[in-house]
Amino acid sequence: MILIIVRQLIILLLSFLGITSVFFILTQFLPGDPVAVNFGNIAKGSAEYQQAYLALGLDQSLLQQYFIYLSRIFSGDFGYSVVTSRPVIDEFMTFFPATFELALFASIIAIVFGVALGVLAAIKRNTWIDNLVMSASLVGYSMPIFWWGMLLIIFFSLDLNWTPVAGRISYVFDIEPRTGLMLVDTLLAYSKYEFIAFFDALKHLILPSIVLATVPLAAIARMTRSSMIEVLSADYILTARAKGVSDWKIIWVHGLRNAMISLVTIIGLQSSVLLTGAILTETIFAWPGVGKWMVEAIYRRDFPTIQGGVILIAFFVVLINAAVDVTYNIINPRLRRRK
Amino acid sequence: MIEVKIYKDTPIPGRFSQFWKKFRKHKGAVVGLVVLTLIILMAAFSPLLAPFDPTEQFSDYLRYPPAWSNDGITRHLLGTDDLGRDLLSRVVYGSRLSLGLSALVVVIATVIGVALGALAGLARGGMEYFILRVMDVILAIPSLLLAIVIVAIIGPGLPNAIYAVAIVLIPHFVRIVRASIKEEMAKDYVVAAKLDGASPLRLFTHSIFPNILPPLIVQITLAFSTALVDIAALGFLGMGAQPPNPEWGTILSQSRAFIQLAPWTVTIPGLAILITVLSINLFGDGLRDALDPKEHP
Amino acid sequence: MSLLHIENLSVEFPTHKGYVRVLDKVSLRMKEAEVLGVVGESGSGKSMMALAVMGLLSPNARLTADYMSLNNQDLMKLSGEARRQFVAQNASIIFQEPQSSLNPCFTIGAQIRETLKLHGVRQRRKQQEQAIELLNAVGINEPETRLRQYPHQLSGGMNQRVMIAMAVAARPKLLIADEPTTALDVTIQAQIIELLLDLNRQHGMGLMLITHDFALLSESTQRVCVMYSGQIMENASTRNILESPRHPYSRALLESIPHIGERHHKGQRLYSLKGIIPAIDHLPVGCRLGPRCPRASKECVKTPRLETIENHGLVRCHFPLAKDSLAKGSEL
Repeated sequence: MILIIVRQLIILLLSFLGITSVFFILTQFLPGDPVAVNFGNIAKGSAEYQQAYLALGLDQSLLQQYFIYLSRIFSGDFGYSVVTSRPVIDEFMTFFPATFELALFASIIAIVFGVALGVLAAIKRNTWIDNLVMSASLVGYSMPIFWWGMLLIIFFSLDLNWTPVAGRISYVFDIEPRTGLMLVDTLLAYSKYEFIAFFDALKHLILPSIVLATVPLAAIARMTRSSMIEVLSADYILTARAKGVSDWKIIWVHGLRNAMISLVTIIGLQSSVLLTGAILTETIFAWPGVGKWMVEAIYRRDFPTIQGGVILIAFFVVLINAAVDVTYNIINPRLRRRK
Repeated sequence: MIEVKIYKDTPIPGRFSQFWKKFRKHKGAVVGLVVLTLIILMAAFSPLLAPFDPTEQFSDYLRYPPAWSNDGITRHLLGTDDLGRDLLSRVVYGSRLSLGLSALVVVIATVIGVALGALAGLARGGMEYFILRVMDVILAIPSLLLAIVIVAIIGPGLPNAIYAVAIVLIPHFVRIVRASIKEEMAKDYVVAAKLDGASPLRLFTHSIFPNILPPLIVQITLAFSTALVDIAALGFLGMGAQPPNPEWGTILSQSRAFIQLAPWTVTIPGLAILITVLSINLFGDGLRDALDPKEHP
Repeated sequence: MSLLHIENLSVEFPTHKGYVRVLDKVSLRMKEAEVLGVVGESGSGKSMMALAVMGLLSPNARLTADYMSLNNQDLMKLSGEARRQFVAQNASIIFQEPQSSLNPCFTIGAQIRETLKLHGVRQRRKQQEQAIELLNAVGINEPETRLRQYPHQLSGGMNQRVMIAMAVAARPKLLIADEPTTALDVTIQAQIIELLLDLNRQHGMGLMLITHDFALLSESTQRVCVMYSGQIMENASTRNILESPRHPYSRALLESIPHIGERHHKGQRLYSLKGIIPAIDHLPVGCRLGPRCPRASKECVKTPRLETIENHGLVRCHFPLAKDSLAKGSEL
C-alpha cells in the first residue's frame, strides 16, 4: 500500500516536472521581454524592473534560470497577472471554488445516473429499455456541449423561463464568499435570506451541471453496461444464484462490486473530460470559474495567468488520477496483499 | 466406404465478408455509415449542392427564419443569419472545413502516434519511459485546454488549431499502439517469428501490425469524432477557423449573440455537428464490435 | 421415490435464425444417494442440463419439460423465485473453474458466511464456527487463515475445496459437479473426486458427476449417461458401458482413453472420431452422430430413438454394437 502511494507520488512529481519544463521551454520562445511576460508591464530601467530581472535570474545561465523557475513554481509563485496585477495563485483560488462546485455537482449527476442507467441497461439487455438507454447515451456521448448548453438555454431559460441564463446567483443577494462554494455560502447566510438564496443558487447551478455532466454520464453509462454484462456472465454470479442469493443482491453487491473495479478507472479518466467541458460550460453560462478565467486570459494574452492556470489545473488532474489509482488498488483485492 | 454427400458442408466465409456480416447486423452502424457517406458527399460536392455562396450577403433578408416557419421563404430553406447569409449554404460549405480539417488532424495524429507508439513498444528502458511520461504529461492537461493554450501561444488561426488538436490526440494513439504491441509481443506466435530470425522491423510490419490494426482502426474513428468536436469548440471560442469561414463551430460563436433573435442560427449548425459526430460514433461502434475477435456472431 | 426425475427436458436459445435446441428431450432419473456420471464432449449439452436443473439458465432461454422433480417436488409447478429458493435449499452445484466460480472481491469467509446466512444461520459467531467446520471437513488446513483470504490467494485445488464446502454447507440432497477437476492438476483431481465420494457416502448426498473424461467415472459412479449434441445416446450402468458399450459413440469415447502398462499394445494408435461435434444450429439430418459415425448407413438419416436393450440399458442407435464388441476388438 505504501509502495503504491510512493509510486504515485513519484509519477506525480515527474508529471509536474514535465509540465513545468514544457512551460519553461515555451517561455524561451515567447516573443517579448521575459520580465514583461512574467510580471506585466514595468517601466524598463526602474528599480522595480531591476528587481524583477534579478528575481528571474536573467543575469545567470539558462540552467540556473530553470532552477530558479522551478523553485518559484514549487513555492506557489506563478507570477502576476498582466491584466489585474494580482498574484496568479490568488486569482486561481478565487475562481477555483466555482469550478469545483460545478464539477463536483456534475460528477455526482454523471456517476449516479450513469451507473444506474448502465446497470439498468445491462440487466434489461437487448430489450427496448436497453436500446433506449444506449441510443440516448450515444447521442449524449456525441454531444458538442457548447451547442447543447445554448440549446438548453433557448428552451429552459428563454422559452420556459425556468432557469437563469448566466452566473452563479442573482445580484439581489449579497453572499459573503466564506467557502467559495455558493451552495454552502448561501446556507451559511441562512439568517439573512433563509432558503431563498440557496434555491436561487441551485437554480443557477442546475443547467450548467447538466450540460457538463452529459458527456461523462453517457460514457459512464456505456462503460457500466458493458462491464456489468461481463461481470454478470461470470461463473461466480452463477454460484451466487445457485446459493439462492436474491436478484437485487446479485446485481448491486456481487455484480456492481466487481464492475466498479474497472469503472473507477473510467470515472477517473472523466475528470479531464470534465475540466475540458468546464471551459466551454463556463464560457456559455458566464460561470465565474477557472475555465472562463483561462479563456479570458488567453484572449488577453496574459501569459503568467495562462501558465499558472494550466500548471495548477494539470496538477489537479494528475492528483485526481493518482487518487483514482490508489482507490483502484484498494478496491481490487487481487492487487492487495499479493503473495 | 461409399462417399455420399448427405450432409452439406458449410463454407467458411473470408475475412472481409465475415466482418461485413457482423457489421451489417449492427443497424445503427449501417445508418451511421450511410449518413457519414452522405455528409462526405455533401462536403465533396458543396459547390453543386449549396444554393448560394456561403459569404454572399442578402442585405434585404437579414435573419429570415427557416422555410417551415411562418415568416420563412423557400429561397432560404434554413433561413439566413444576421448578415443575411444563406444558412443552408454555410452549413453545406462548412462540412468541407469540419470534415476536411478533422481528417487532416487524424492523419497527422495517426502517423506520429503510431510511430511513437511503435518506438515505445519495441524499445525498452529509457526511451519507452521517456515517451510514456511525455504522453502522460500531455494527457494530464485537459485536451481542449491544451489545444487553446497551444493556439494561444502560437497564435490563433486554422493551421495552428490543426496542430494543437493533433498534438492532443497523439497520446491516445501512442498508448494504444504500445499496449497492443506489448500484448502481442508476449504471444507465442511472435516468439515463433522471433525464433525464425525475424528482424524487429519485420516483426512489427509482418507479425504485430496486422494484429493491432483492429484497435487502431477503432481509435482512428474515435479520434475523428474528437477532432471534429475539438475543432468546432476551438472555432466556437474564436481560436480556430476565423469568420467569415463557415466552419460549424465558428458559425455557432457568431450566432451566439443572436440566440434570442435568431435561435435557428444556433440550432441548425449545432445539429450538423451532432449528426456528424453521432454518425461517426455509430459507425465506430459497429466497427469495434465487428472487428473484435472475441465477440461471437 | 427418486431424487431427481426429468422427463423430456428441452432447452432452446434464440438466435437470429430462430430458436435452436441445445438440449433435446433429455430424460433421466437419479435415486437418492446415487452417483451418476454424465459424459460427453464439450458442446454436448451436459452443462446445459445441469444449469437447467438448477434453474440457472439465462432468462432468454426457453425451457420445456414434461416433468421435472427434485426431491419429489414438482419443479415445473413452482414459479420463478420459489423454484430457485427450493432448488437452492435442496441442490448445489460446483463448476469447472474454481478460480472464477468464487467472487474475487470477497473473502472466502464472507462467501461461506453468506451461504450459511441464506440457510438460516443468523448469528455471526455460529457462522464463523460452521465455516471453520466446513473447511475442516473438506480437508483445508488452517481454516481460520483461509477464511480471511481472497480466492486469488489460494490454489485452484484449494478453491475447489472451498466451493465444495460452500456447496455442502446447505446439506443438499443433490450435488451437481460440472467438470469439477478439469482445470486442476492430475494429482489434485483424484483427491477432489475422493472428497466428493466421501461426502456422498457420509451424508447420503446424491452426486451428478459431469465430465468429458470417461476414465474419471469408471471407479466412482454407479450409472453413466452418455450425451452427444444435446441428446442422451446411451444410459446404462457403469459396468455395462465399460465392458460393452452398445452405442458407437460410447465406444469411441472409451477407445480414446490412452492405456498405460499392460493394456497398452505397442504401435496401437489412439482411436478418434473424425470431424468435430456439429454446430447446434447446423445439426445433421437424422442421427446427430451420422456424419462422424463409422457405422453410419442410409438408415441413419432417420432419427433414432432411445430404446431399451435387454440386460443393458437405453441406447439411441439404429445399429447398436453387439455385446462384448470391445473385448473382441472388432472394427467399429
